Amino acid sequence: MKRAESSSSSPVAELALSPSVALLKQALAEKGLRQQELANRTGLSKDHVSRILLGKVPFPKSRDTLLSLAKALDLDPLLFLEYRKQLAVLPESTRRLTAQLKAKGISQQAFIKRVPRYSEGHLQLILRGGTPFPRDPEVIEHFAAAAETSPYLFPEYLPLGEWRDRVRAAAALALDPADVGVFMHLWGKMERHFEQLEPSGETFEDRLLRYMVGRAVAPELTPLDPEFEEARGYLPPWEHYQREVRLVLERMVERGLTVSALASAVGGEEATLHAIANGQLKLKDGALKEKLYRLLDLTNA
Amino acid sequence: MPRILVADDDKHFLAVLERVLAAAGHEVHRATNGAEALTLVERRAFDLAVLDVAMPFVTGDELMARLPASLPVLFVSGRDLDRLDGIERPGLHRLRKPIDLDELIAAVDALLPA
Repeated sequence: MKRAESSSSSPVAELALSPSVALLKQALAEKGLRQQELANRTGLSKDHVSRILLGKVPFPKSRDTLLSLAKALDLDPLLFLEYRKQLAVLPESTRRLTAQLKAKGISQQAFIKRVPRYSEGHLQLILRGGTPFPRDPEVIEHFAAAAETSPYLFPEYLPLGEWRDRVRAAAALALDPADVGVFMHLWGKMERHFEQLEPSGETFEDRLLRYMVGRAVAPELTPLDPEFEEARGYLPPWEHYQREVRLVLERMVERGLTVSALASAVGGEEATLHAIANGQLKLKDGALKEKLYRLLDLTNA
Repeated sequence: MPRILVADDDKHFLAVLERVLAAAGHEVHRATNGAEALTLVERRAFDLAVLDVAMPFVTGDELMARLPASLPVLFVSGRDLDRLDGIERPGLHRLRKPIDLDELIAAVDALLPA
């Protein structure tokens, strides 16, 4: 039986070949593998392997074939130009996921085992880019946990607008009180999204307040952000805030404090401070106002 | 003890309302959205409903349309109160956020049956 290296075509002919052909020939030679053995390991016919090596057919472009060739020869599939091209068309989040798995030394098989509630076939399809990256925040949270990263690694996981749309869609059906359980589940998920600590250590509400104050007092330093602009609708307009509350919020943001931190510092009831910060309650003269003013070096003047 | 339904989707504000009204001697039942409030209303009678306007699933004004005509309603909301312009109903009162809790208690006392 012919050895792989003996199937080389002339140097002139190789110029037109994919660089992957030379790589394949080199790997076959180094491993002392014959074309038939490569065919057996990859499921390709020996004739097809031969034609690939002779450049009579284009080098395979299918992700599965490229991966099986790489596996059969113990090569990094990224060495194949065709595989790199395939990766370039992967959805952004799929690329980020595969890069994260590689960085953490988590094999794709191990990742799949960590996400047991989804079928292996579907997960493989996602990892190969055969289907769009999931948009369901809950699925993304599972993926992130399995890949030991934050769900915010994935651009799809900024679902404020999506949540709002889902809630609105659910609202359209909310005529039967029997469905309340379903709605409550959706609403609970949305609330958890708002309260989830982000990589910065702040909640979405903290970031929103900081944005609102920034837009009010230093717009030149606070560029418009579509996500926050949309969320601003949940709060009263800045000019409707009580003057005392505006002062407290400005100083709070200036000092990099969160509402929770402020509540903890003044020993006040956290819900009250959140309600004040969200423009629901007035800050009246009294012990809480005095503590806040003292802590933030504000005066009544 | 007067029984009050309180519905608001801001859970911090809802917690404050619940605490203040309970401290004033009322039995408070809370809902975080209009659909949940509707379920509570179908299960028991209330003496007063304190409602936000913009709530998920069923809004405050939609909810009011399904409440018994005899039930007084106190709307506590921000700019969404403007949506209620022109709506008349016996026992309907409005408070605009940000609110003063003393004003809230005074309005509640005024609306509850003697």
